[in-house]
Amino acid sequence: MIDVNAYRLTNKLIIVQGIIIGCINKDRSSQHLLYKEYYSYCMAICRRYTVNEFDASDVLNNGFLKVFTHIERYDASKPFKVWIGKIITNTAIDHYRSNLKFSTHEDISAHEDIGHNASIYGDLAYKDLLNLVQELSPAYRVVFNLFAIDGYSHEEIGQILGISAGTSKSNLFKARKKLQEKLDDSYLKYKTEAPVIAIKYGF
Amino acid sequence: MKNENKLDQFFNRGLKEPETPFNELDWEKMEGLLDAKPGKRVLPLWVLAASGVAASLLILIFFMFNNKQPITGELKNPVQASVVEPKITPEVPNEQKEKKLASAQQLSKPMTSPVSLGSAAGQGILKATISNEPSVAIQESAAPMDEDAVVSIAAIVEPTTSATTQSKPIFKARSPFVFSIIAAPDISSSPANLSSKVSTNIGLLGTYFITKKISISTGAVYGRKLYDYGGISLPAYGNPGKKWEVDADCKVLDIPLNLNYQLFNNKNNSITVNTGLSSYFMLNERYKYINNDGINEAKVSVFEIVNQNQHVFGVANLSLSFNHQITNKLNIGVQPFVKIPLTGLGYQNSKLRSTGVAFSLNLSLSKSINTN
Repeated sequence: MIDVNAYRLTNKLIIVQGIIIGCINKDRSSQHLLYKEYYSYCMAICRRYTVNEFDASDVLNNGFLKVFTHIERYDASKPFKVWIGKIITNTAIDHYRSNLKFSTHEDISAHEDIGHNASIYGDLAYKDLLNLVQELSPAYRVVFNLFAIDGYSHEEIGQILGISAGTSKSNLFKARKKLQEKLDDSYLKYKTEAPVIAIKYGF
Repeated sequence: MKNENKLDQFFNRGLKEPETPFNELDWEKMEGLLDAKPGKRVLPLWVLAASGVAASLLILIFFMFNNKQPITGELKNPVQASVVEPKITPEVPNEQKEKKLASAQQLSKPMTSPVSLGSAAGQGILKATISNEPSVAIQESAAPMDEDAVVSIAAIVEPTTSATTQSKPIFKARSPFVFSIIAAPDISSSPANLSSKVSTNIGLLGTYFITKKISISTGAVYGRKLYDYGGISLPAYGNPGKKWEVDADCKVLDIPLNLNYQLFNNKNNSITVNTGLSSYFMLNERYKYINNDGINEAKVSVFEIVNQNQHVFGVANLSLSFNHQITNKLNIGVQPFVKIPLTGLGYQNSKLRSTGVAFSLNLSLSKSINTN
């Protein structure tokens, strides 16, 4: 019996490999396909490292520019997603570093109240969590992202950001504390407001 | 080392892979980045084009003044005549000159001014010509001096000495040079445009007549192109499609090179068809990206680049011009035109097409025939 999922996955891999070859040849339509294929995944990374859509777009495109420029360096024996994810993450960290001297507080006004951002019910969780992460100060946000989501160790984070492992740990703890507080607040808010939201947006 | 922290896991699950609807505008920006040619030498092309225009204008002025030399030299002071070298270069055979003369404007009576001639013989020719500007007399006597001279400027002729000149019948001569000022509103649009905006262009052109009907033009036109385009990205996962829009404001230097053919000509009016290629030098491009998901406030970002894109012969021109003569030297023209891009223009690689009407004031740098 054919494992349909495995079959689909293999099929997809073959297609992606074809697209990658097109990108090596600088074929614009292949680049477009690759961009669309990994847009969602990469955009998700960019969003949690930045505070607004424009920065996220910038990071995304700068990251993809590197991907397209260095695509021939991709080692086909390893998963492409991991490779592209690393490039995007590095671009996000470059962005964080170059903005260090400008960032004091994140732009709170860019974030709606918890729950009002949602356009569909299932989307609620993502947007809210994203907001919470975006509300962190840049230093906490980047460490939280690298450790909790991207799975780097404190030593590795220290090397990437040029800080000590100890600073990384302490930033992580502070980030968690803040997130927990906000989560508790918003959970209550969410519970009381959920029915209203559902009605407002017609769901 | 597996992360056991519950909070981390919660965020990990929640943030890992949402489905983000594709935003076409991001791809547009991406294409811009992919097309940007790094390290392009901006200056040389710009300078080349500008100096080309300056050179043609200089040649124009050169002709204006140089044509007096043979006349004055010969008339007043035969000895001096040898001093006056024929600086005029284009070869126009006599027959052609006569043809040109055949369609020139009315001539006015020649004026004499021995004083000026005297001074001219000794000093700068330029002074002489300026002071005696009003009269228009075609100098055929340039012929013995310099068969190849193109006579295009007013000259002063002494009636007594006209006997020494070749006597030719009176012709209406079309002068080989015409200088124009144009102002042209147009509507520029790219595919997927959203609204019609009026762009403005002003510039200077010089036209040189090769034959009675065929001429070439070049010049420089400064234009401010305003246009927009946009669309709606596909709705996905219950999200409505996002409206995206790009508003463009580009300052362009247009250097045209056109070939003109006169279809019709009577005493006062003419119709000419013009075709050719323009080079666009994007001096300044300003793009406003607007993202509107219909729920939250529209998000706007502005992107501006300076002097980064040049498209040599990147635009094709086609127009029809209707000219009406006002005085023997001056005419006005109305010229509906269309400019079609042969390549993507600017940072956004827009296929920007312009349609408009140019209003021009044209000055013939005329010559008139010696009326013996």
